Amino acid sequence: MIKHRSFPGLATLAAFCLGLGLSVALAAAPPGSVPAVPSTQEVELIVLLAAGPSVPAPEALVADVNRGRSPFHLPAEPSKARTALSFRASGETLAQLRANPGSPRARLERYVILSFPPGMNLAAIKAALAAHPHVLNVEENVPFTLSVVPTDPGMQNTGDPMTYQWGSYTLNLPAAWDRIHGHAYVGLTDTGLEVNHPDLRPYHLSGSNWIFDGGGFRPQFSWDFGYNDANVDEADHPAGVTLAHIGHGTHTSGIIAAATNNGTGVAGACWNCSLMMAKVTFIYAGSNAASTVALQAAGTTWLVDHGVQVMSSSLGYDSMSCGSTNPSDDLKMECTALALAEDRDVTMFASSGNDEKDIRFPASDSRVISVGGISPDSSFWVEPVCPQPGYPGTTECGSNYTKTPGSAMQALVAPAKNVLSTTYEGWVYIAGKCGDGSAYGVCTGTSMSSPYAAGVGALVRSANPLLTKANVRTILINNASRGGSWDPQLGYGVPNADASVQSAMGTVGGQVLANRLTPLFSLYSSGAEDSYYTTAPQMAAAAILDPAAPYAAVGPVINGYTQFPGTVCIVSPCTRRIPGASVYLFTSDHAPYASAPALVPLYRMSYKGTNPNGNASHRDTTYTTQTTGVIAFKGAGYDLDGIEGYLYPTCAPEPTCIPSGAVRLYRRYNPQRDDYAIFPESELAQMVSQGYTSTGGVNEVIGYVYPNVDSDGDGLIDGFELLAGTNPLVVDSDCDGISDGQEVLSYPYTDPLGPGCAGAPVWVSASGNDGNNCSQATPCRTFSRALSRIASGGEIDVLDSGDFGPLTISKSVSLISAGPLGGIQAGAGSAITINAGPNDKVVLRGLTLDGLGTGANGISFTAGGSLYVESCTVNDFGQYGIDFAPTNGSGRLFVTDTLLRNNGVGGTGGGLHLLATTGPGFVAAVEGLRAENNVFGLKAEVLGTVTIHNSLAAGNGYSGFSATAPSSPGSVKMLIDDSVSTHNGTNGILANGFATVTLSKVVVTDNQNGLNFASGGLILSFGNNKVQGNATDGVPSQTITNR
Amino acid sequence: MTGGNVGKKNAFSISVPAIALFLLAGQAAHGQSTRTWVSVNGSDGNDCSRATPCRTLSSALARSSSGGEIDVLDSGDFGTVTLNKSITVLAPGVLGGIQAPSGTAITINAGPNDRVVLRGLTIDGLGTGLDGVSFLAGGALYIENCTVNNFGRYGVDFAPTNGSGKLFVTDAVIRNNGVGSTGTGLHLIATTGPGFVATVDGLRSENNVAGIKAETLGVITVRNSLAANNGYSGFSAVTPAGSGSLRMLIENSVSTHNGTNGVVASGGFATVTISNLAVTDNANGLSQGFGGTIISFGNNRVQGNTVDGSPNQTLTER
Repeated sequence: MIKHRSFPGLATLAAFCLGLGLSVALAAAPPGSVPAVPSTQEVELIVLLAAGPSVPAPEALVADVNRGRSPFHLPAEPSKARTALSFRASGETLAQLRANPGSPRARLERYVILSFPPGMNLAAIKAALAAHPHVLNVEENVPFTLSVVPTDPGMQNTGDPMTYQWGSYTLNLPAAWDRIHGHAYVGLTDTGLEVNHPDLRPYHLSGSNWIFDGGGFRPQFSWDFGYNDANVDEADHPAGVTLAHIGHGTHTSGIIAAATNNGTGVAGACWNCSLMMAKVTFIYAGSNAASTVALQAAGTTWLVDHGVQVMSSSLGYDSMSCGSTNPSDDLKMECTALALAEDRDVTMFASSGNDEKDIRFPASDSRVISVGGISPDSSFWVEPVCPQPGYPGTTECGSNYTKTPGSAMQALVAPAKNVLSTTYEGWVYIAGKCGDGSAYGVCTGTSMSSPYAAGVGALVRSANPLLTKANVRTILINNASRGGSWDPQLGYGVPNADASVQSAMGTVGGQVLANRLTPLFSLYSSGAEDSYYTTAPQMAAAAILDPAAPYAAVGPVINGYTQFPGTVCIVSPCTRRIPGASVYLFTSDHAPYASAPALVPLYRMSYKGTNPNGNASHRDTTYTTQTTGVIAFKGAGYDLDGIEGYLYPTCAPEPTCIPSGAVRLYRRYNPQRDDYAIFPESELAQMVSQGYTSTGGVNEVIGYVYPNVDSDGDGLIDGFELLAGTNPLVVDSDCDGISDGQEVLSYPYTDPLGPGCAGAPVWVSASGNDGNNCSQATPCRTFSRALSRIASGGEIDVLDSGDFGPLTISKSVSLISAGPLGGIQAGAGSAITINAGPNDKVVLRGLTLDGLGTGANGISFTAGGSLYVESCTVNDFGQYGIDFAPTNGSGRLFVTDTLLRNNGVGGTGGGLHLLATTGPGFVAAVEGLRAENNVFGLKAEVLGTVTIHNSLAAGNGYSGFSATAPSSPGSVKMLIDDSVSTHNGTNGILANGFATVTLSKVVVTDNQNGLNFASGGLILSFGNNKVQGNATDGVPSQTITNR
Repeated sequence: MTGGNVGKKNAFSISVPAIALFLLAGQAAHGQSTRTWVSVNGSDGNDCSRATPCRTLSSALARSSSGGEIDVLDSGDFGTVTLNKSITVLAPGVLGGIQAPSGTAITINAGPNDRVVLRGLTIDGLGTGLDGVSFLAGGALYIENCTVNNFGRYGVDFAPTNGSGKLFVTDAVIRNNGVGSTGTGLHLIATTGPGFVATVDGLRSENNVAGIKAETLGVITVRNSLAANNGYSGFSAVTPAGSGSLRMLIENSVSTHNGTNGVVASGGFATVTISNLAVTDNANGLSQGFGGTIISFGNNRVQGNTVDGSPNQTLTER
């Protein structure tokens, strides 16, 4: 593809860039021998116009200059002029920029570039311009160079056998991909890319059919600033230009956003990121690519204007800094562009440079994360021999760093040496060194380091789009390989993608969140007649200040996120910038919980064109969850913008299959506006009334999402609390004084289910409220709510007398009522069910459990480590007072000073029931039990051992103490010491089957049978028992001697 | 600026009245509850809920369903009451007091299957009340963690008129009951079959006219208990001439400082079995009258009484 367009100032810049270009010719003219700017070249000056009524508008000034009427009265007048930004604000947006002329975006709008013919006295011109009342700043349009190692053959892959992406492992990306694949909007200012590269294109035409490829490149978000058109292909240059060295941008693009998991090529660091390419280079000297500050600044502005979340620049200039003379105000154009990006909270990365010197600009700027290089062994990248034999004079032999003490700090290092990525098919970047004409190859340089680090940053921003750029920087640095220590060469070390993503996800209850929910911001433009939704604050901010058709934020406000980044609202009222969202999306496609259905992406697609209303500014943005939908919309003229997040897929049968708390997400179409909208089912009637009447002929429900409902107003929506395990009705689930929302949403996060409640008891009170945090001052109302508030091992205390409701316990916990009535009436079911882990310990102390004659069990133990029942009374249950029946046959029971009465009905149920049907069997110690007037007193069955002391079984309908075991498997051992069995309907003591009961100092009186054994059961006596007054006293089967 | 859109995105009102209506409907006017409450700050015009408790036990009883609970919310005196159905009265950690300067503090006159639990109560006759707890009819009575003192006759009078009833006494103190020669700490009597069935564990009967006295028809098992300083006998089992059937077993207990007998079996149908019993400093240690029988497991300490006495029969432990 060949363009036919000229580039103003090309000749001047070509000379500018001669020494810094990308050419094998550099072997003869290495960077170290860059000549001064020849006075014979045309030069460009970038001028920032002042604001104000007396200052000509940029367009007017440009028109005047181009007609030969320069208003500046300079020693030499410019021959040509143009605005620095080719995309001009208009209408309301322009009015807003003019109303706040000091904002970075407004200043960028006022930059003009003046071209001067050769032979001028540049210093005099600059001085005159600087003194002009209409000029705030003047600067030369200096060149930027690419940070790949273009000219130094020694730096290239000379026989290194490695043919895999070692750097992705060094960055711990595979582990991070187990958590998140990434879907952020990432921008490059680079040389363009091979737009049809099979690993980068999103889809391609096969015959008349679109095929989905999954590459990250987004043509509609890309622009060629070198030639001012939409084609950002690296090989697309004017006729007559001899191209060489094509592939730099293709390589950096692949590092971030190559289609991944597609069975071919390479893996991008961020699998599903959308790649915006600002092509900021042009060809000079016949074949070499170069860039300038004006191009870099215009490209940066474009990316910010289009909502980029993460930027990477593998270009640099070695002698620029922002604010060096006026620290309080950035005036230079690229500095202003950086200020704009900073204003929009864009995370910026840039390559440190390749000449082992101080860090180059813009990496040297404090707003940018500078990325130096490492070799495959993780050492700081330097070439062992420099200059390489046969390439005299080159100084590009290793990563830049903080060479001069006090100079710009190296922030991070990332793979630079022999990095494998996509290369431009059919082109060789450096023969034998970088690219071989195939689709993939290795290159070397910090040009590779910056996109790698940016890819990790994109994963972090994907995990939580609401993190600020300062948060992202902190996360990357804190998790990097040097553990917080800084080194002039390695900075804070190599980013750890997995650790960084974990930090971005956050921790709840000691576990890293498997997924997060983030608001899907809702916007609408009446100018474009478009409903628009994004999870990226930068996207929303860009839409609100869209230069052509500004959007406004709409929808329910978002607790905990009240303002989009940047100076996006210049005139009041500022309601358009208050974020709104009806629904939330997952930030990862990772299963949010074990049994969750596989999540589907929400693809965003866009279209521009006149609508049925005749609106030429019309756009439409639509959404789909299927690649077939992407292809279908592509066929209808839409382009894939990106993935905004993930949601539950549709299922059947509704509504039972819909995950708890989630709601249907509808997609409807307004044919008059030509506008698709998506919204929760609750807004359906409202949307229909707005003309969104068409289902588009396809399934209108595209999935299920959690609505923006925050019942406790803590900033965390109910769905998020459901997933996290925090309490949707409690502001501060772990009673540590920090709201759940703040703990989960505000970085640095803290654990919303931290040890706050486990360390201090939580409380229940009859006057409590389950919306409380269960502190002593604001207690909860029920045991079950209190239980949900604490970590395993916690304690629940009864503050005052009351009934606190049944509960099921699945973790270690103590329920303590010391004095007051800790009551549970359970007219149905069990009062307390314990189904906990094998090491969990449950203490029940001072409780009064009442089954009202109809409840099942007072305490039902089916699984757990140990159960302590102390000073409790358990009465009037239909089955058992205590049913200790571990299903896995393992568990310890301790009963102390507890009273069981009136449990069981007819011949069923009883006081204390012990049962294990599989080994190892229960282990029980009973001290001070009174079992009175139950169906039976204490019965132990099948497998286990129980020791009873100082206890009483009286007035039970059947046996007082009984042990029963079948022949196989079976073994029950019961020892009773210093206890009484009396007034029981059948047996005082019964041993039945493979059961042995040992008696010591037991009184057995007034039972039907005193001692009874049957079916092989044994009663062993120490000869000190009192058996008298029973209808049949009975005798022990064996007497053993005290010793 | 987005006039075509404002209405479209703002339909988020919440309907509240239906919820309020539901709450109102949930409150029954005068129904009975499985759990009622009394409080010194309560009022008998209340519904006896936790939030609006009643003032007296009798009022709470009326609001309680059979098998329900009356819980004492805070310390106070909640008045005498006659319990006529299955009910549990609990005073956990607070003073559940009843002072009865005349009459009986708690009367149980319930159905044959009704169970009454008195737990944690402090019952005071001020020297002039008649009985602390008077059981006339019912299925079972549990007295747990109670103190009963200063009644003119019985601390606890378990006297089922139909001759049937179970008594469980656990961890109770009965003191200073009876006047002159009349009255007893814990008194049990049935005059018609089948007779009472009593289990006493952890009773202290101190300074009453008599400690524990069981009469005519019934069986009682006592353990871990103490009868001390009673004016007449500590433990006594009595049947009238020619009738009755009374068995008392006492395990691991003490009878001391009593004015007449430490342990007495009186009447031809009264048997007291003693095991691990200490009988000391009574006028008579072991005493039999009118053909009564004392059986020993040979493990009792009888010493220091004016007349120690001896059992009629010794049984072997097994």
